[in-house]
Amino acid sequence: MTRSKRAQVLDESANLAAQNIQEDDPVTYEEAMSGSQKQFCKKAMEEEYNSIMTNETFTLVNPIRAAELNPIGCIWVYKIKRNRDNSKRYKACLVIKGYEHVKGIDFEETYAPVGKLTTLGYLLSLAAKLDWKIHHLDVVTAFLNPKIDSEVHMELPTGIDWLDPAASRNACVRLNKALYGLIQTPRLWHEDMNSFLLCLDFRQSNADPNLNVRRDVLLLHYVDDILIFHTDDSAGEEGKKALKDKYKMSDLGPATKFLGLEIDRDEDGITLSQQAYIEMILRRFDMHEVNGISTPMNPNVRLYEYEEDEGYADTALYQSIVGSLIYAALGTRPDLAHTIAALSRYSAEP
Amino acid sequence: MATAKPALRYLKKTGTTRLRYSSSSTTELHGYTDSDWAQDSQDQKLQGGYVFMTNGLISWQSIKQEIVARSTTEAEYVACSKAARKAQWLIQLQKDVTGSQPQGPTARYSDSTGALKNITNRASKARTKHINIRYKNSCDLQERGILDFTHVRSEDNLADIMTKPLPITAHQKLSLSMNLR
Repeated sequence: MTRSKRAQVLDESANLAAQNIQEDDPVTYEEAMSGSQKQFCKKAMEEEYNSIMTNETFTLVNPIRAAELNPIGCIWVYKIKRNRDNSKRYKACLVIKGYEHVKGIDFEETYAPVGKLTTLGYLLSLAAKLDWKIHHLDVVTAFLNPKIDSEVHMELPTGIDWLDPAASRNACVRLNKALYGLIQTPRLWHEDMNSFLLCLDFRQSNADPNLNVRRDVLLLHYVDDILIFHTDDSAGEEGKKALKDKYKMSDLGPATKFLGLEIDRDEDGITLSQQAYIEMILRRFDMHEVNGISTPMNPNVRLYEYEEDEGYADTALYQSIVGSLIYAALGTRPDLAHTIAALSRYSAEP
Repeated sequence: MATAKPALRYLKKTGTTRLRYSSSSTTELHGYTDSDWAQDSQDQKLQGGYVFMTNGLISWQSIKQEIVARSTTEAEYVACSKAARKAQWLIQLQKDVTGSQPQGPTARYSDSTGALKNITNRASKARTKHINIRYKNSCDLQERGILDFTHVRSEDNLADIMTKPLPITAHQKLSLSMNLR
């Protein structure tokens, strides 16, 4: 993979992550444990800790050996999810500080392929023509599934004293399975699922490693999101069942949203759009009440000739606008592609 | 001072636009390429672009090319080469998904007669022999019958929208032709 490709992939994931940022998520353990959210956060942490223990993600290590092990730190990350009915759901996730890793000691290979949006477009195009059904599955705690490929030790999580008082006497833990935040986790998960799919006779595509194909069923996966394309209901159900038997899944039914892109069907075919994402960008930059215009860039004015205006002299703001627009231009808005390419050239000095 | 504001105001007007994959049109793969002198660049490099469609748009890119072209023909030639590489990838994807080779060559359109001449019969060798060998993949793919480069009128070239800002009517016309509505 070339450097520019890698940068592009990183940009894409950074943009995906940006969509998930919410203002009221507690940022630290201390913040979660003070204030009105305490009981919800505690409950979420208990759920996460229990699922880690059931999964045998790590083994406790006796204090005598601790000094030579160099355990890596870990933190709790909190996320408040909104249900469709707008009620809140608290999630806590234990994340290892992957950036303290040393290549060659704690990990070897890290590359994990990221699904190409082009593949999604092509599959939707065929689905519209050939009337394929599309189902969406979501792997629960996907990254906790694969076994780890090297010896990694981690400090005890904060809050262990009340989460699991008996365990708090130990010095650190040794990981048996991958954990969120570990540099090699995405690759381990991709390999884990791919080798399972090969056992089920799903061939990995040469063009896109995130696409697996079997006679009448196609699987497109992006980390823990899986789309199943099929014509024959029984083949689709059988593929779904095999996956559900192996991994813990939530079945999201007919696909309506994938990677933040909205998928809709009508009598004339399938549409792909990012209306919610665009609405969010406009609100974030306080542009949701301005007057609209018909083209994204005036052909008669050169970009660098614009007069400084209301706050756009701020480089960071300019970069964050362009950054937010990139995912739209890559996702469903080819009409913006040239504008974004042109604007990107001025990111350093707008 | 560059500004991103018009792009946001454009989205304000067109936020509900969708890419459409129509069940009634053909899923045969075809593509368009174009290039233009980058209007904002001081280094004379080119803005190239391509789009690929089936019954809807599946791939597009607007990129600043790494070389300084000596002529528009050379510029189009480089753009064709980039698009040809993407076309090869798409043909592989098609093969993986459908399990069969596409029937006949994949059609590719360009509006530069000069570049097309170079690709289809390797004409005017003296004027193009300085073009780096890595841009000559399109000739090879044409000769092997995998791609078929043909001419399209400039105003019907969908890739035009990837290379420069367009006036309202042209912008809207090309958006519609890309099945964007």
